[in-house]
Amino acid sequence: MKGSIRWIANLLPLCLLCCAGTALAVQDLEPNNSCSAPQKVGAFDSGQIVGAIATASDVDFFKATSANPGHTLDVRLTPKATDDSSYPIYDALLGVFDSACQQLASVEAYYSDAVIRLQVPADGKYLIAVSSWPDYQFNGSGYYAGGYQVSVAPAPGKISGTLSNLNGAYPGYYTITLYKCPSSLYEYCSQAVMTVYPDAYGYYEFNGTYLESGASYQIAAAPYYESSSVARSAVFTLGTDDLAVDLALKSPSMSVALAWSSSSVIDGGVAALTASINNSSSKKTVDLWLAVNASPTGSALGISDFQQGGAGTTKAVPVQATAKAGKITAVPLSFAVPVSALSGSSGYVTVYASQTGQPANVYAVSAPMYYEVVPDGSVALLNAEQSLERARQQQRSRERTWFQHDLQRREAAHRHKPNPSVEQDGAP
Amino acid sequence: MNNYAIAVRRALTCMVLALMGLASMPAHATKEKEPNNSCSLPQSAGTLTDSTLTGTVPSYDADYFLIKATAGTELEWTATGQDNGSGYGPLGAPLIAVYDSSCQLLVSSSAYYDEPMVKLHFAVPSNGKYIFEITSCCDLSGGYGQGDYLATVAAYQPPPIIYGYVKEANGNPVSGASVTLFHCPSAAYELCDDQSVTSASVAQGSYSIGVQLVPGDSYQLSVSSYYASGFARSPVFVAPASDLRVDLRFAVSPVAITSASWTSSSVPDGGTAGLTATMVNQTGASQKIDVWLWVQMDQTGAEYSSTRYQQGQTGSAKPVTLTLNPGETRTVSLSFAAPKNALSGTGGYVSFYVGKYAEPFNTYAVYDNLSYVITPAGSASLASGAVVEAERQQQQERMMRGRVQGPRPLATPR
Repeated sequence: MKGSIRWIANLLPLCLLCCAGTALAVQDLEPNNSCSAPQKVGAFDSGQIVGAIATASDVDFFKATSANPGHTLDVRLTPKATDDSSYPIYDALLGVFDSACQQLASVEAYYSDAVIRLQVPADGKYLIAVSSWPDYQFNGSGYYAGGYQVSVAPAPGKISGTLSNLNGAYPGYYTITLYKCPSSLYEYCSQAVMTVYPDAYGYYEFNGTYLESGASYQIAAAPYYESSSVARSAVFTLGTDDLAVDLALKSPSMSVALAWSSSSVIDGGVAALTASINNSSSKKTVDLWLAVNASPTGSALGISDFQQGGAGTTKAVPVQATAKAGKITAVPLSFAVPVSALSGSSGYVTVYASQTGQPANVYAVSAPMYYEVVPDGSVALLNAEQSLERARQQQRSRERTWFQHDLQRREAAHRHKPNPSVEQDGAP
Repeated sequence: MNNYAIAVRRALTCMVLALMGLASMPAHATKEKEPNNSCSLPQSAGTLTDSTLTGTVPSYDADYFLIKATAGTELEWTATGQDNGSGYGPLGAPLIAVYDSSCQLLVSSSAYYDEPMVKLHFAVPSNGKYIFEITSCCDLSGGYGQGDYLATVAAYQPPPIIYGYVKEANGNPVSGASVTLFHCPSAAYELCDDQSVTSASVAQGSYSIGVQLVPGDSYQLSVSSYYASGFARSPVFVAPASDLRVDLRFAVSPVAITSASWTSSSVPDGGTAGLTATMVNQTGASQKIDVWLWVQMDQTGAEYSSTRYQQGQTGSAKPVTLTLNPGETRTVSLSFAAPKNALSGTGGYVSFYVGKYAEPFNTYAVYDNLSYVITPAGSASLASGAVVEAERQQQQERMMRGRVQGPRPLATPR
């Protein structure tokens, strides 16, 4: 008997350790449709809830009964298929209430997770509510059904750092993007989470509910009008402590610039370009090709993307050139504009320089050079300054479209919230 | 005429001129008076139908005014940033809204980030009262921007309506489409893409756009739809002085891609990934076409980390040329060489293009839901379908949110 007791005594701490390390996974159990009759989930300083909004009029309430007062938690709702629903909920709403059923916050999960940063009230009790847009009062007036997962975890630390090696460039010329990684095993991560601009000293910071404790991330710097990064951090995992992640820009060994040889060409003519390769490293043999974009075209699709190498419309094979060390090498290229293209057809041409036969191993890419078919049938070729302005206009147009879309949603959300009055007093 | 008559005439002339002057100016000019930063406690501004409001909103402030007007009247508010000497300077990107007297939002409108003016119109509620709010973009509870403003209300002059029907090539009404109005550089252009003015959704096959256009300028309508195949653009037209009907009908693409996929779910490091696309000739004539792949690759680990290049005939960028008989359906196979020893996380997508390559603007169809990623095991994982498209859309939206939420520093980089 004594042996058994000793055996149990030895097992108990191990068991407790296992339990402590295992996140709680709570299954949604109906009925839990109101704040006054919620499903109780225990302490819930961390853990997961998996459930489903069965019909559009369903609402799920979960009550944490003994969390640590004053602790800061992130409550995150992720739409996903579950055992109770074969499809993720669209446009879910996440709410948090205190034990008196006063709503503390609500957030919409629209094309992203919904996250609420919560300071646990003094009585250690809080409620999590799940519904769908536009049910901001969590009374069953939502529009959608589907599965979800709610995770509760201690709030993560912030990420900050400095962009260096700017070589005199203004830091605001660069964007700093935070990428989320599928796991810490990846070397490159591509799920963009947030983009910020460094301040005048190169300092940047990521701090918000879009960060997840325990997730792996990578940070990259890129010029504002380019998607390609020029500095990338190693993959790192964020905990509850603040992290410093600095970035140093790398000077590329090669750059390439493109210039039209004239300001316009006649209908169906050949637009000549010169690619100037500036090679600051050792002598290299490179492949050069033009990536041509056209939009609008007036054709059935309205857009096109195709490659040009040497002269002529069907010669897509790259041109080989030798880039001498420490020198600028000029390579003639051309783009044959189609006969009788509709006026207003336009697009841009970019030159790529890569290792010979290795198109993924790109040394340099030029800024895009724009062209446009004008009403007399000729093709206007925009110089570098005009092309930059055109690129900015297009970027602005895309941002404006998003802005209007976002504004409509804000208005719709406001319409459904119980009280649109303002609480801040910022009056002069 | 005696002196008395002259004096009377002069007096009358002065009165008429004064009245004319008054007619050209708003009848009332009201200045904001704090506290007025809650819809439930607005500043009472009396009866306003042709009047101005001036004031200042610091960051996170919003000014609310309770206003009386004739029920059912259609009014238009215009707000601009205008320096009134408070020290804040003119308000950038004003946001304005109108509520009914029980604080239910009726309509709101916001200027874009560097636009100084915004307008909205509405009909005065049946009890003859409404609440006008002004703040800065983009939060009705009080935006981040700050500055002085001038807001003007006047009778609404509705712009001409551009309306019409949108039909598929077979004559069926289109649903789930969006009509976009583009501004044209001049009436001589056949395609306009320089500035999107506004867009409207197509409901039950019809659309309607009421927006103030620049008199004399030219415009064009374009339709896009996830559900209808082909394309539709209107002729270029001059801003109408009265309502204008413009019907749009989708044209059919000569060749469509009905499906495309990878031939396996993964390939080993440096292997060749096969792809097939099924295409159909939708016309009654033979179609000589070119087929090529457009490869987009990001995070390559190279000095410049993204690339775009063409693949056609095996190991070459040259397109595959073939002829489709009238109505013929054919499956075409191409391949893409996955890069060897690429870093895990390197990925991108491959698109099938079909068109007359010798006429490079004449593209008939694109299928671009085919993505790949190099996994930590070193193999290339190949995926296709709507999931990939949804991920790309979500990523783009996140990026746009990031850009919208994080305004650029004020200094202009060189």
